[in-house]
Amino acid sequence: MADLAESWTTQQLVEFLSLVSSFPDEQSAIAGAVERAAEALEAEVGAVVSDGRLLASTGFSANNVQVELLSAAAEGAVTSIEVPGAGVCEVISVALEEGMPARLVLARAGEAFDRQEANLLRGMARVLTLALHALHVLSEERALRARSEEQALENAGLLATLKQRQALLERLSEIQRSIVQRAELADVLDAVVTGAAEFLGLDAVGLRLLDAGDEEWTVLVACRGMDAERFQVGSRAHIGDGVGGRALIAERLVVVQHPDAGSVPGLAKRGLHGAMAAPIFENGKAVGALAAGSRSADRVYSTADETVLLAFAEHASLALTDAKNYGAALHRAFHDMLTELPNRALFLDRLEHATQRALRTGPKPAVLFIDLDGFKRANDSLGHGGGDELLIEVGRRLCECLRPGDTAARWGGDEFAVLLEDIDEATTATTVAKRVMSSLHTPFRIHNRDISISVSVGIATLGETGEELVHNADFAMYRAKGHGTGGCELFDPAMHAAQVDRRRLEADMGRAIERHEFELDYQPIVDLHTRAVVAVEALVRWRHPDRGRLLPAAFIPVAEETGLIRAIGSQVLQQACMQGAAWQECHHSVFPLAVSVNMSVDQLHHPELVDEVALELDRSGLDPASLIMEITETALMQELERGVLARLRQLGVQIAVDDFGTGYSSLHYLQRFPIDILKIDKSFVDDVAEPDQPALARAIIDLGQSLSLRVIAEGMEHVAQVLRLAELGCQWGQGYYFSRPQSARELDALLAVIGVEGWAPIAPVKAAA
Amino acid sequence: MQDLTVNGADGRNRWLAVGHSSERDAGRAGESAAAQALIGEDPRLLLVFCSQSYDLEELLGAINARSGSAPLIGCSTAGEIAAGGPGDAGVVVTALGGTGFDVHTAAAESASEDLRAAGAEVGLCASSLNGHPHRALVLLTDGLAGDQQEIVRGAYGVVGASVPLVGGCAGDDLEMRATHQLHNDRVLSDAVVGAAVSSEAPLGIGVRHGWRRVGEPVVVTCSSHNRVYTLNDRPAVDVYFEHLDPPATARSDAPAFTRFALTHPLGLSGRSGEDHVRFVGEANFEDRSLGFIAEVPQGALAWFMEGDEASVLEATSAACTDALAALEGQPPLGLIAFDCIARRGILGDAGISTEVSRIASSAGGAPVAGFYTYGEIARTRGQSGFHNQTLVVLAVG
Repeated sequence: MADLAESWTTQQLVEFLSLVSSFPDEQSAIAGAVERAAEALEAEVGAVVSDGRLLASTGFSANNVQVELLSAAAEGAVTSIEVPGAGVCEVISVALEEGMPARLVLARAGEAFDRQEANLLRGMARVLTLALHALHVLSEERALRARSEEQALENAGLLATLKQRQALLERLSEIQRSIVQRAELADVLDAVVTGAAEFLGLDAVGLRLLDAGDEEWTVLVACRGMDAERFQVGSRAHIGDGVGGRALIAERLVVVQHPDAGSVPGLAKRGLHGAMAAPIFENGKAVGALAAGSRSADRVYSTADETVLLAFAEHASLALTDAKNYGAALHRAFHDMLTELPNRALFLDRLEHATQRALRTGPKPAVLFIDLDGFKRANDSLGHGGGDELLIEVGRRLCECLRPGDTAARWGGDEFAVLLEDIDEATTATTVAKRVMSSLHTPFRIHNRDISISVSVGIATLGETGEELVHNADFAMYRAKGHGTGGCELFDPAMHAAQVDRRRLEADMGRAIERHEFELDYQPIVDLHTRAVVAVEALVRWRHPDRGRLLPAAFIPVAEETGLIRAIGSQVLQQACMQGAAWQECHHSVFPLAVSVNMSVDQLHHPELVDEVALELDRSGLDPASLIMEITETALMQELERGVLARLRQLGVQIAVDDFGTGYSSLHYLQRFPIDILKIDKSFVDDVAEPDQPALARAIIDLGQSLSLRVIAEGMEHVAQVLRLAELGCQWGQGYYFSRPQSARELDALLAVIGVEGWAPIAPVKAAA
Repeated sequence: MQDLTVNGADGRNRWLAVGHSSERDAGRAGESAAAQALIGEDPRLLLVFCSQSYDLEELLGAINARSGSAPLIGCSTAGEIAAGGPGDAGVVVTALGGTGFDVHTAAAESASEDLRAAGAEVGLCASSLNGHPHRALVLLTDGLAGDQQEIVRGAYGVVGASVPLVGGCAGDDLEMRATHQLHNDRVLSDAVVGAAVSSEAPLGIGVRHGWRRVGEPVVVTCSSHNRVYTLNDRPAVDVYFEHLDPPATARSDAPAFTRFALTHPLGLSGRSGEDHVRFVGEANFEDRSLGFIAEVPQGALAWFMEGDEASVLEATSAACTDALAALEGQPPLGLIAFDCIARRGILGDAGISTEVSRIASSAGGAPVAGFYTYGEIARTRGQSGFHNQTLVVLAVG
């Protein structure tokens, strides 16, 4: 995470810059700087020491500051010091200004300072020096103004110089502000060169940086007053050329006064009689130089000139370092760290721009949503690092399938998204999707193993906004996944309509439960031998206020997905028990009429189911033996249900397996689970009367008999089926032959007419729609 | 009702005990809690954490009457902690006594005029400490008075690395109007009170937060002091929503946002990659900027953070372990916890009971006291000592 550390370093320096320029006087600036530097580097001790004099310190208790110890640390006589309360602390010391005695010292317990921290501290020292110069100038100026005008006139020359220095500092703070506000780097460097030329009063100033492509060369990035024919921004020079080259290689200030100009090749050729140059650093590495020269032989470079040049070079370093780290930080914020692909945020940003552009120019963007179907399995088998490699490789292949202007992004986990710009028609997007699929279906070589994955792709070309496009592509992807792995689906508004419809249904369902819109129809179950009505199966219907009466297929899947099935199931159970008890009360027979209720797996999982059933039986007065609970075969697959079923059975309730023969039940489950009844699915009943067909139905009936289970045949429509199944030994049956499901009131009337004793004449009832 | 008090005396020349009362009458509550805490001779310091629903003058009067005016510091809270469990609208009194402790207290008023000077003024009381080898400066401050790090800087400027700093910002049951600090017989506001303690036995400090980073980092691209305008060059509120996906109500309703933000702070990356947690106080839904309780510098690399009960409780255990480590295996006389109110927000009422029982079980039967704070102070290394959304535990050996 070296780049994170660099970004942090720059941030500290920029903060430090604004802090030290806010102090009103030198003393408070030094004290504030010491404290902030120590805080930034988590040092217990900080101080500025000059020639054995302590200018400010922090870390020792106020009445016990160890000046000599700090002095020794500042001069490098010791590398660690003992600090009360903190123990042995490692020391770092940097000069505030080259060649001057004042030094900034920090001491930290536990951990020595690294190179990056040393660079940061040097940067801070430099910034502090600049601020101190500014404050010094201000205080001198204040003193001057306090004198009489006459005296001031005598000092006119000095005053002018001071004013110029004040202007210099203002210029430098302008540059600082533009760095903090993240102005364009080229503009900041240009301001550095302009400022240096102006304040040094020199003829030619240039700023060169190493050529990123070839570090043997430098490129001129900003200049003032240079021979325009030969020196333009962008022109290259060898790394060691000129005074700037020397400063870059030596990593220090280089000054060539007039008489020595001949020692630097090229200086005279440029018409310069002397020059100086200061190195420029980026994260502590020398990457360029700021050079300035004069065409006058009389120009002598003073220490003040050197300070000015160094100050401008320092600001160029700060700007470069900040720009680089800021760029890196931005890159991290917008890219997936693993695959280096744009992340979701950047993808959405580009998508938004693309949709905006499409509004103006016409061709629209398309979005592909890609999900790796077998990634989890591959990841488990490859181990974590292998899974990462696979994702990286997927990202690489994705990019290969795209045009340069398109964007592939990692959406998260094993999902990727692709933005195709300017797509003229949906088929183009489909072509790209197929190319992507074909590329990703080619096995990957990871850790010397061939790994195959398949992908599901959703494509969306329709959508007003980026968000809508993503949503539609995601939706299409789930559709593709729903059709099995390795599929590709183009979003179609009908899909959306279906989804909207479904959402509405979900919303309505909640309300329907509150308003008791669910009601029951009952289908008689008849003893095939006596023709007596022995039971009724309760079937739920939804009396929807707008859509009319809905059959279970229209809403049960949604109810199961949303979990509302439990609430609906409770209402069904309650109604069925009440109705069953009422019928037992008014239609007496030798065999009490039973009521059969369907249970979803979800209901079976509800911890309070058994209590609820007991409560409803109790409340309705229905004999537990008269309640049949129908479960599906899949419910038999789970161990959990066995306990629930056993407890229901302890209540006296009968358990029936619905749609038997269509699922996965095995003999094993039938033996292990507490079951009373098997219901033969209609598909086995349909052709039972055909010659040589009843094998499966017969097998189920035989199975039931051998396990002492009662068998009910469902979906009986013809007398031939009734006769054949009765012959095979099936005891009970239900179907349109006897009666369609009907309301309690209708069935009540029917029972009153035929009695529970049964349909005397065998008169097939027509199947109603 | 009076809660059971554990006698923390270790039979040597130091003792510590905690008393707790939730009686509604200030006089009776103070008297009762002080009576439970004052189990030994020669009380050296009373720490009082109380609800500000009490008449604080009356409360102090009753405590001082019982203690014979032993040195006292204290503050109002956003909930009190005692071994029996967390509570509101009550008072918790901790007493330290015996010749094995030396204590000097101080108070600085009108702190907000110069927070740094206030910190320094209170820090001066440490210079009177005798020769006991182990020291700490307990600071209780007004968290609503401004940048608390300035108070820490002021105190550090006086005591340096020689005395660890520990403490918290007073609360006012989340009314956010005014908090109170207590010093001897005085009820103060906008003040810093402190107690410099030296002891024959070690004093350990543990600091942990228990937040974890969510998703990818963001860059603070435009900020000014406590206000963040853009993250990744986009409106800060929008980026916050995208990363953390708050419920719909929190997207437009200010109180709902603050409730959500309580458990979703921002972490600024520090020198060693550790996060300095910054609490998001409010969102401006008009200009889409975020307001923080402390400064968030422009250019900073930051992470959104979240916590849940498990991570917060893990931090509780770790802070206790860290604090106890300094005692080198000796059992503590007692533990004092400065626990951020935001952590209470995550844990809920059941969770804070679990938390307090964790602290109590770390204490191994020794008394536990503390309060829910508006900010925590702990400086054991480096110079920065002000924390947000953190648990600070002081183990008294």
